[in-house]
Amino acid sequence: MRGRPAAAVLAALLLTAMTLSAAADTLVPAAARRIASPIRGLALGAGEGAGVALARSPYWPLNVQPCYTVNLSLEVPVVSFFGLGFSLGFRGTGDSDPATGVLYRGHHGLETGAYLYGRGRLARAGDRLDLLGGIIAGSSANFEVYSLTELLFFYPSLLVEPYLELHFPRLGAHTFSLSLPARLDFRRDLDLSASAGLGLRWRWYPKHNKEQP
Amino acid sequence: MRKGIRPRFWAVGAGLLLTGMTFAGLSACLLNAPYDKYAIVYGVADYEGTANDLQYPDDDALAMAAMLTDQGYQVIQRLDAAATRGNLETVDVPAVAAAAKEDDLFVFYFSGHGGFGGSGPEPAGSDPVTEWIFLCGSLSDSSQTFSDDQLLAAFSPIRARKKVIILDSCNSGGFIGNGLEADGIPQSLYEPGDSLGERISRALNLYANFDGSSADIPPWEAIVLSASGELESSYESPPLIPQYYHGVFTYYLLQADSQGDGNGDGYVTVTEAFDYARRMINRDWNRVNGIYGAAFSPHVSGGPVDYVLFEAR
Repeated sequence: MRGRPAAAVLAALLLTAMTLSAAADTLVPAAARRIASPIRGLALGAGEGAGVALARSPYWPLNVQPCYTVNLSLEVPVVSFFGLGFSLGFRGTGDSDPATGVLYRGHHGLETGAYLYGRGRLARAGDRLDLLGGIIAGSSANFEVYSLTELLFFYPSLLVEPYLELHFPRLGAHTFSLSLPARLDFRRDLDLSASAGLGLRWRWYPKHNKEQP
Repeated sequence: MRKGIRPRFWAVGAGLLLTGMTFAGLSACLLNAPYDKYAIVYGVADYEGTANDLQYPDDDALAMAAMLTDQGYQVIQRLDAAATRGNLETVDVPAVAAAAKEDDLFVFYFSGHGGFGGSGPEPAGSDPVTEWIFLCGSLSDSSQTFSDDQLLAAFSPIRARKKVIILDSCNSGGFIGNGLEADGIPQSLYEPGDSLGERISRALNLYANFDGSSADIPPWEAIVLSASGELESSYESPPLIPQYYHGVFTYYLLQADSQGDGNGDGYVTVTEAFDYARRMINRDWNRVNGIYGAAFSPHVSGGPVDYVLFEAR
């Protein structure tokens, strides 16, 4: 029952964003064309990231844990500079330093995400490189187990990930991006659970050559 | 204009990241203070009469007390007739409570009979079964037993926030009260465990309904390391083989300081000790005795936090 209002809010936000975006694309076609990505369409991707996670329980002080993620993504454009994405990946978080006698446990498992993205061209270096900028905002559902155990638990997260995407026309339908993912987890047994790091992603736009002969 | 955006963008991101890491690192360093370790170790082999006597809980307790002493714990040890509820509540817990500070570590170890049955003071809708450990005199006088809730209440005067309860007794997994975790190890190895879908559904349900309370002993009060699941026995050997001359679980727990440092960081946490004992019991005991109905598995509390139990030897 508790999931329904959240789903309704998410759906409403999604519809609003899509409507606004479509309106912007129609009403300001010149602006849209100016920032439009030179590579577009549906994209399949694979990415990895590493960073640090911060955890603080109601009973123990803040501590830091290493974390990493690998995932696959599918991005579906709604308009030229805005779309929906879905991801499925593996996420791992290591133990914090045990020197104080108390540590935050490592955990790992599946993360499934859905997000909105917007992107556009930032710069162009002749025919050699297109530099795109974008941002991802979304949420994920995480099913993980604590390390060395079979104790499965769930928590949702919010994700924001600004990125720079490099498109070398010589490589055709492939791009590579660098990102700064930041995540806020809604753990019910922690006062704070968040992470930030660096990410790398490869994207393949299978329809790129067909759209831009 | 756009050429200036990229360096600023990365600089701000890197700055935020470094600030967070520095803050977390500093707080970890500042809290790296020494702490004291206390343990109460009880072993009951000699129960009223002879029919319910066990062979090795006294040996388990002696060996565990020696190991904990070697690990720097201040240990109170009681065997058989001295291992009573009265001594625990009126002598030993007050002694630790008088000495232990908030940052200290407290370990309670018990080897002896355990059981389950009857309805205890459990919150409505939670675990309907009460589990027990039987101290000396408790087989003829039920007021000398300890239920999961009573055991937790008995330790409440001890201020040490790091509390670990280790139980080498039957049905001891029922002392674990996880608020958010669905355990993939069934409470009896002879009962079908939940499927992955059922565990996911249970984890979602626990998350949605978590209200900060828990039946039994929740991980934020104490981490419980149990020899067996809620619905299964734990064993000592002989008479079965392999012959350990200890409780099977305790036999492997006694090796955890030298064999259990799975990640090689110099510390053996409660979870690492659990993992070592579980793997060894599966490998050496369950493989041989599983066909006779004597397979069992340790369990451990959930929760985001773990404690260092031993320094690796």
